[in-house]
Amino acid sequence: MTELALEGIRVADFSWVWAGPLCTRYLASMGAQVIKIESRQRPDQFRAGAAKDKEGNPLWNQAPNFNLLNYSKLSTSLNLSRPEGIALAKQIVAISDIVVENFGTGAMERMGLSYEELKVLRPGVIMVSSSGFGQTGPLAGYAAYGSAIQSYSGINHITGYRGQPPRGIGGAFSDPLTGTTELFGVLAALYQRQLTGEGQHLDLSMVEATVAHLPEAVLDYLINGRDQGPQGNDEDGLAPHGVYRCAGDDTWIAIAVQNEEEWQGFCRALGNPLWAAEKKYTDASSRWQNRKELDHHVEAWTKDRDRFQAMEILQQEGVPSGPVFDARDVAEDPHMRERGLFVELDHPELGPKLYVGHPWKLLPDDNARYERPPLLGEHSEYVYKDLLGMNDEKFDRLVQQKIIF
Amino acid sequence: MSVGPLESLKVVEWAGEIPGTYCGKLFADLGAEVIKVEAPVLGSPLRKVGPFPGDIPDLERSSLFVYLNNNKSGITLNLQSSAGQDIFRKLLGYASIFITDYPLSVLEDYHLTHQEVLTQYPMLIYALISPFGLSGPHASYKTSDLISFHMSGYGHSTPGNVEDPEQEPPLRAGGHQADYAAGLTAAVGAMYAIFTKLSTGRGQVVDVSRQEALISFNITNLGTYSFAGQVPVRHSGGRRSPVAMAANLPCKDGSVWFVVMADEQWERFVQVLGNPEWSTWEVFSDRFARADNWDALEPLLHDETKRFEKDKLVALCQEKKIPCLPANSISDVVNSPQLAARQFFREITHPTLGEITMPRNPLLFSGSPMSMGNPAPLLGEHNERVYKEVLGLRQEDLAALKEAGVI
Repeated sequence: MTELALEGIRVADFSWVWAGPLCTRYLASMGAQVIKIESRQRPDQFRAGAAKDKEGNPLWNQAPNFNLLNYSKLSTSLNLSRPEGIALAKQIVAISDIVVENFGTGAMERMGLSYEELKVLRPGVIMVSSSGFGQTGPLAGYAAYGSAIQSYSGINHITGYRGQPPRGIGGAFSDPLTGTTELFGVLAALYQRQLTGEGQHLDLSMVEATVAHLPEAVLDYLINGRDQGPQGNDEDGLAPHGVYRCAGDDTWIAIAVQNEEEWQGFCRALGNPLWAAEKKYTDASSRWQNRKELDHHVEAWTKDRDRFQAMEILQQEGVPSGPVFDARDVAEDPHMRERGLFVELDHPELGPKLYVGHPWKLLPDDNARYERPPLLGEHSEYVYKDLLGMNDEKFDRLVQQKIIF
Repeated sequence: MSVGPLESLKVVEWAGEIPGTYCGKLFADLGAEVIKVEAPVLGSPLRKVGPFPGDIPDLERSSLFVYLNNNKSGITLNLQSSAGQDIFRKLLGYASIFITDYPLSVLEDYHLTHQEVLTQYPMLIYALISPFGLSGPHASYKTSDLISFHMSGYGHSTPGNVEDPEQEPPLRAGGHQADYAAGLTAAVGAMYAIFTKLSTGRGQVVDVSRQEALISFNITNLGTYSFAGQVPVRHSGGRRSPVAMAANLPCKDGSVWFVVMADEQWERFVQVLGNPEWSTWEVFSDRFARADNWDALEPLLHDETKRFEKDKLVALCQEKKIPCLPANSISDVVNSPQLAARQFFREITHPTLGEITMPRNPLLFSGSPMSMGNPAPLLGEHNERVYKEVLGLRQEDLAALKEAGVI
């Protein structure tokens, strides 16, 4: 078996919650040794939000989101609120290539772990800092949370039904977007370091990562002064384009006809109904003008059909279409099963569960490290004794003193 | 050409839609040399997509095209001709990475399938963004941003807090989030392949599915199903989450979004509101009770927050470390003093669009100054330079090829 892509790379992972951990999870599944630094003194919020057992003890190893975002990593307990803890953190950095953190701006500096200091400990180190608003600017210290960032970035404002107040995107979006953007940045910095030997500090703001994906609305405002509102499932100028009811409760199919060829295919799929030949639907512009009526015709066809069958019929004629999937649909879809995006990993407390793997496949050498998520502090002995050469007495003392905690 | 961590990488991009184009942009933003190949006369289909100034379509004045193709070199090439295909194959020899989002049928027609290309260039990274990936029963199916979004699971959970599923159909997020996610995912995949090549000694196909890019963002949905065995429902029944209570709160001049996780965060929030009487009621005593009784709590909260101006409420909350931020429109965020201080919006001068302000890349590297590099190319703008310097063609060759409609 060939070496993994990032074999030999070590990451000191101070990050928590979502964006940072997603980035470091990918680094781990790409082959890096990721040392997640965490503590009972201040657990990752996703661990902290876990259910409790009968005695009221938090079940830190059983939180779904934590596990989904932290597989393939090593977990080492380290209490960063104590100077001895900081000293150990520095030792971990000294043997690492990459440092990842997403604390509030200034936290690493206050702990004596600024980039300037870490650079001395490990020349060539690459440090990645992600945060709600970035390392600089008037709002740099602001408390942020994924959904609040989505609201600040404007993406919530342009998500909603046409003519109605904004609703916002459902579920976390800025977090994974930031984590994936951060990952691209880390790989780029690593690439540069292979050539020059130099490390650097990356600064990524969640707001900026999100706004970078809204150019249509942003440019329309900058160029034409238009402050866009929600547009539902519409795409200006395209019809049919939207979601349509299918057989069953709250069951929908998405259909997007983008050009003349797809419109012809759409008509064929529906058996060339008479209404489709009416003058008001002959070209894209008139279809857009008459889209409300057009949608009625479309839904008359979809509403009694099974959503998968409707997709098959449409796709046979080259029409972009597909059911609205919920999480179960995604996990159970035969196409998704064959693609193998989901990986089953066992877990000592939870048993086997599905995790999300790499959304890219390499041919011919697809290779990834998929290992179960770590229990809290599971690898403390390995990290401190094997990697840092700590003896047993010191280890036991630090555990007692709640430094390794 | 700008500098950046990827300045030694050479990329050839042949893209018809946002995913491939945005993937190429990410490399260009980080300093790579990106040669964008377009059809002669009409160019990339994205030249026909606005926003245009004054909504007047013009192949050289699409602001979206200019944003997505910043810092790339642009050449024209007629791939329908076999002479064009020959030239393209020679061009691929110059690149470390090839990016495309054209359908397999088109790649087959032009003899640009990964099998053909990698046989000739076994060290190349061949990044192909397709609707559903290169394997599986849907491999030949077609997609669009709408379809990818709704087949990722995000459409089912957007908007959140649905009261009447019939009146509130599954909703796509504003813009083209699936398309951009696919481009970003392919950029990561291509870099992963670059590192893989170091140990395998050979190039790779990077197979990216537009459906899977957003699925990989959406892990909580999978988690709820895979871990808790719960089938997601759209209808919220008026409840909120006890883990992270989040809501839009109306103010005098707009609204804010607030998130409260721990009970003591809520206590601090209640102080900001001036300790209203209802905050001591049993039905709101802890985060579980508040989640269960959200329907009763919401109007009471709104009565309080409407007394504030949004910036003031945000400032008061932030003083107490409560994640509360303004609910911004696009104009609000573009005019954000934070983004201004961070120089997030940069002005560039484009030959036909003129002075245009647009976002820079969000990644800031201490090792290289954030520069915008060169503006997006006019159609065929770099034909001379690329064909002469990269492919060694002479002026006479160029004239003949142009005459023959090959470039």
